[in-house]
Amino acid sequence: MNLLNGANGDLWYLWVAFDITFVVLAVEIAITVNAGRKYRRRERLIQPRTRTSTLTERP
Amino acid sequence: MLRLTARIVHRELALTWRRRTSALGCLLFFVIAASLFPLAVGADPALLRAIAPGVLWVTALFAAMLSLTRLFGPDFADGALDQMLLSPQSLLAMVMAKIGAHWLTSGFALVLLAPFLALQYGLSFDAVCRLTLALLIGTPVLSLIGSVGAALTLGVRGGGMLLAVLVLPLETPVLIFGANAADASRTDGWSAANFSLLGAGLLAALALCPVATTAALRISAE
Amino acid sequence: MISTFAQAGWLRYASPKPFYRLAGRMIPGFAIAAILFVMPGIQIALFVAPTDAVQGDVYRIMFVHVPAAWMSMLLYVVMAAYAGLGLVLNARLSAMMARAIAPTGALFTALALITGALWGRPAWGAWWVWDARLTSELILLFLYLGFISLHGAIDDTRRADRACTVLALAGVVNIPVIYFSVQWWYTLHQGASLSFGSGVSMDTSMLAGILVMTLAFWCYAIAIVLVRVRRIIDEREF
Repeated sequence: MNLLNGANGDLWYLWVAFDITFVVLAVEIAITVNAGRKYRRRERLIQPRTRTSTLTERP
Repeated sequence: MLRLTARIVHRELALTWRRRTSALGCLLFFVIAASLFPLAVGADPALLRAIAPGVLWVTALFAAMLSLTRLFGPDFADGALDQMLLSPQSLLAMVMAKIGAHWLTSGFALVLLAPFLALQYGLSFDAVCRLTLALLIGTPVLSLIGSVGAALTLGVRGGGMLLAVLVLPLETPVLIFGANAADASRTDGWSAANFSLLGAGLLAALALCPVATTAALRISAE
Repeated sequence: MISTFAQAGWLRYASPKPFYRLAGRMIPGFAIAAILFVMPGIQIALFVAPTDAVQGDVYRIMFVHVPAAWMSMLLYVVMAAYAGLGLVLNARLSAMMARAIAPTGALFTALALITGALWGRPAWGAWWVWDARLTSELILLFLYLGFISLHGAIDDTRRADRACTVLALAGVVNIPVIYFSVQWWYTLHQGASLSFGSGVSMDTSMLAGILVMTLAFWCYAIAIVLVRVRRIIDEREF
């Protein structure tokens, strides 16, 4: 009887379930927070000089 | 309104007859796909009898899915759909007529073909009757639910695949009840219960789906 | 009711720009609340709640499985409500909220299915059974993925929003099916953990653990959806 397997040998499922849950949620946080980097507002105080036409693209 | 419906049905049938290759293609797919399963799982008669309702239902579902793109696709492409949207006639009536005509050339044709395919699976007469009746009640529901998906994915790239992805989850209850109803190895009470659920589904779909399809058409064709 | 909202100035948050700022202020609060709920939640789940007489300790998966499943259903209903609101009121922001909820809802559904399978293997001996509740939860996952796919496939954003509204509303009938499936069909999945009016059949600490974890997931969902909707506003509104 150890902490990893438990009495029936099935505690393993418990740890995997909890680990998967929190890893998936952490990955979701990481992806969502880092998404849309190109569109983020007011990231720089001074906008870089544009080399492309501002008619069709955001500076 | 009745004359409008009759005219639209006549129009749809005439147009389908002119482009009958695609309509026949879906039916041919049904026949070929249903023939593949006995080849794949082996010719054990008991096994074939057991899987027949499910397999025939799934292939009917796929065949119906393939035929859905021609429900609104050609009209969208050549501008007839815009005319329907602009006309003072009831769009709901036109949509119901189109779905009805489409069912006649796809789902109903599958129902007529099913007894012959059931021969390949060695089903008893009782089983064939149950299967045909289940398909008769179920295929209109497939057309109705599918019409909502067809209207939503009008002109979208990858439309056929996306249509299947959207519509198949919504149609799984029909599949489950239909296959259960067609299962001849169960009691009559079980079949009757599933037929009731199929019928209820048909009534609900008749009431709700054309409205949803009309709304989706207006959204898609703007 | 609308007029009292308007008088209090709340209606301005129906517009993306003010809502962007409001959401920015709400996110830290809900994130901290999520952490404050999840800590006692895990404590109850792993240590405080007693060992089950029949299943031993593996039943503790329930403390992530049940909240995830509840969130998957709740988020779909909220998504469909926002979508419907956006269609009826022709409001862009409501549609953006619906689009923001979809990925989180899909993830909770996937988590419910995965943790359920991990619980099912030791408890029932099978990773998966085709009973009514599992099947309809799987269909829920497909509905979420269909929503996201349809939105991505349509180039015009407004048309995509409205098309996904019809899809979301068409699928909302699945939620009562999931919830009541254990009553309507004889299934392997256990009956409702909590039901109104019948009293609760499990230990108080287990009930407390489920509720605390649900609150944790709920606050997390609100925070992450608000982050995502701010990203969507960035992308769509110049």
